[in-house]
Amino acid sequence: MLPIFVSDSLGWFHGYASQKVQDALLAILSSGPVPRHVAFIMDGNRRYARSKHRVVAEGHAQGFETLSKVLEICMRLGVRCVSVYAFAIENFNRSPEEVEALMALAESKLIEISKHGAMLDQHGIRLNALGRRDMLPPNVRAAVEKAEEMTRKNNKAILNICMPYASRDDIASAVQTAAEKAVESDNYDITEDDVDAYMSTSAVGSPPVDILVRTSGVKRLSDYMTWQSCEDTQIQFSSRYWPDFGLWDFVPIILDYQRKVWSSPA
Amino acid sequence: MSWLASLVLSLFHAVYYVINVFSSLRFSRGRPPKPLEAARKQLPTHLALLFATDRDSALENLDELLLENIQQAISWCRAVGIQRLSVYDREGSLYGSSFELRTRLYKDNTSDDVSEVESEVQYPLTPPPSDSSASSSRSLSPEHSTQPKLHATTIVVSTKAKSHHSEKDGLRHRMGDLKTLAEPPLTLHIISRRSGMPAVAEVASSIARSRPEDPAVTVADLKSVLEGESGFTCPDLMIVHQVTPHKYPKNVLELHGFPPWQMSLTEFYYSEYPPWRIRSTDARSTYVPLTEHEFCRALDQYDAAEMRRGR
Repeated sequence: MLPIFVSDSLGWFHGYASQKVQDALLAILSSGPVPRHVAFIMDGNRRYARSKHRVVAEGHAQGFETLSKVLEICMRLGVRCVSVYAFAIENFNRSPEEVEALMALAESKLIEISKHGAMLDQHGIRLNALGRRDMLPPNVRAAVEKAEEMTRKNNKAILNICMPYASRDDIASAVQTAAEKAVESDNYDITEDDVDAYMSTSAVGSPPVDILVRTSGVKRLSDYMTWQSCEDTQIQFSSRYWPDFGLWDFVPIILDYQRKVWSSPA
Repeated sequence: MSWLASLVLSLFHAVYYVINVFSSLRFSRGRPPKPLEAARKQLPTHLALLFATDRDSALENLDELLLENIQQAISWCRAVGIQRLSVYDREGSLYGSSFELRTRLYKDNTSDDVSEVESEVQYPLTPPPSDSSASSSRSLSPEHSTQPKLHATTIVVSTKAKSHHSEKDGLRHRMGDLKTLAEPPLTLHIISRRSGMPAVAEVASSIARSRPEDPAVTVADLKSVLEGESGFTCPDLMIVHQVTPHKYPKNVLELHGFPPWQMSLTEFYYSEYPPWRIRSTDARSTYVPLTEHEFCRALDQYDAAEMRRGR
């Protein structure tokens, strides 16, 4: 058995070397085309927890750590906008304990990452909560609004946290707004661009979604960003559970995107 | 140092290409799918086929090849008991050929003459196939119409089990035949990009025109229009198939403008490592058909999928 100071030193060296490798890798990848907007369906927290014989809430907490890690990678790569499916409207069908744990996690973590000097501040990321915030418990809604307010002046990048969200709800809201504007302006010829402008992502200034990643091997969009992803978005399915997702899973996704950009006609 | 980073990135892509070539080879030698007739614990009730083409492809007889392929797909659907099939191509070639397709299907599936069967099995709400008159089956003029144009054609095709009958007692006889069919009829939706986002915009216009005093819209409102009798429902499974040869060993899923409303819960099947580098000078041979093998693979994927619906 190694003495503690040796194993500590090795651990430090491993961490240092990993960081250096990661820095070099990101510098290399960012010398090619970088997606403007990447959306994630963070699936697999519960299965991850079960596979590790832990409670579901721990899986979600670990999932949040992964979100921080992936957001850091995206920012250092130069991705301007990241959207995440944090809670689907249909997720209210889950057990009250799980919904409560998720809401408590959201309440504490959203404020934490929005504080001065924390990650969103460091990278100049504006946080937007997309979806039916009227369905959130009052304390979580207050936290969401506080986090949005704290990051309001950040203008380098965007983080869209979709909760509680459903694409169909997003489309119905956009259709309603487009219809209201048409009535107001007395111009009833609504185009798809008009509807698109009122989709929640466009309304907060997000660029088109270049890549959508779903983890845990499920090959469905589960009512997430269907409007934003139905055109020429690259949809990537990763077999990893979200808490296990990391840089090395993201590298081939970026390489696929770069190959598409290079092979597309100018 | 940016030149060095670019150089190393090129090296990464070269290594990634080699990895994908090996993955493609490994995949091609993988386990074959279960046969068409094999028992599966869950089957889609509604299947969609998305036919994609390369942007620079120039297949002159694409419509003809697609129609043949769809006829095959229909026979596979019948064999496994899928009763609803949507066929999609972005540009609307199929939508434009819907009369031709309908005619062929009737010839294949009935012993009656085409015109008679047509009047029996085509939903009257179906718009004519040409784009210019795509929604003119509704009599309202565009300026005053409150009916949205969904740009989807629906055909219901009966099976060969029908017996021949005279025109005189046609309707009564036909109703009787429908009840005694050996298999239920197959419903075919022919759709294009215009059935998607543009159709949603049409619905928005129609709502603004029809109730300007209260343009509130719910998910149920949109569902009733987009999935109603003039529209089509969300497929359970979608096979995304590129009919022009792939030029790279790895394929990434894209949805080519498929109607976003109708794919919210759809399971997607696509070949991640498709056949690639098929060289041919003959236009017909550059068409890559959807095969029974791929069809069965898609059914196997669906069979293994766990549907959680938010839970």
